Amino acid sequence: MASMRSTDRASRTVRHSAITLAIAAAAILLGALYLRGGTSVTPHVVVLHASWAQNYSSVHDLATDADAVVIARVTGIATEGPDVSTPSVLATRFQLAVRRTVKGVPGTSLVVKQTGGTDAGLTQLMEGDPLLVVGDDYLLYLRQVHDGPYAGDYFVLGGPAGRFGVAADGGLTSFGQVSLPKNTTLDSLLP
Amino acid sequence: MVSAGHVDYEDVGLFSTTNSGVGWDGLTFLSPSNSANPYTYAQVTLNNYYTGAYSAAQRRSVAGHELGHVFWLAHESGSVLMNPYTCGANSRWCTYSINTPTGDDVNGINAIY
Repeated sequence: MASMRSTDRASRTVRHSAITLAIAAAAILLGALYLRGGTSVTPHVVVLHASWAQNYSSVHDLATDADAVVIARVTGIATEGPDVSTPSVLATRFQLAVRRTVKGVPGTSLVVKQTGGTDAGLTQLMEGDPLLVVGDDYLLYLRQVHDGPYAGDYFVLGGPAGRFGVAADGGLTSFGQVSLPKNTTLDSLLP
Repeated sequence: MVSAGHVDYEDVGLFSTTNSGVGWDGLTFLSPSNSANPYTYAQVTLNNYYTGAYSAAQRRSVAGHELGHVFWLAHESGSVLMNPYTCGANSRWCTYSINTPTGDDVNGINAIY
């Protein structure tokens, strides 16, 4: 039991060290970007820690709950700044081009809102749920926002759970707890 | 003021919001100031869009989880307060009914402080 506790402590220490290193690396990177832009503003990086309302362990459950399931490419950032509903938190609204629709009728483009982003020298990063990357392709299980200031936008189900990176060869990368068999490809997953 | 180990808070803010455009029911951030005094402000926000439909015990599960972050605990999986999911598969509340610190959570606090 004592060794298990030591292992727990060591594991947490390593985890906290990793988080600290990640924050430091992000700060250095952002600092370099700011300096390259000709300003000496020091970025302020804050890590957000979420409790997600719902977890998913299978793509079947994700597909059942999703309003839309798409393969889409992130083409740009529509808006970035304080979340209108929760102004102390930043939100980034990504513009996506839909390459294939598996469920729902999202159209040829859609906006996916994520918590986190950069505004006025402040960067907020969500633990375990990195921001989408412009230019990358994703398989996304999405919930549409039906009311409030972001009505019509989508967000990813279960935070990282409903998002899979799609590589050029069709290989998939899971961001959440949905485990995929080794070498799972898009074609093997889609109906 | 909370003062121990890595944490020296001037203030811990507890807020609520109603935000239908996110998947989180609770959110915490720690505001850094400088290396000698890394965190001076912690803000915990509960999202009424979800927690408004929760029982008091389930809300406590979310609040307890977020307060764990205030004390610098990171996410863990399984039957622990720091499990990041309230419901669904292998979740803190709907699966394991956790709304108070477990032995693993306490070990984490002891390891930090």
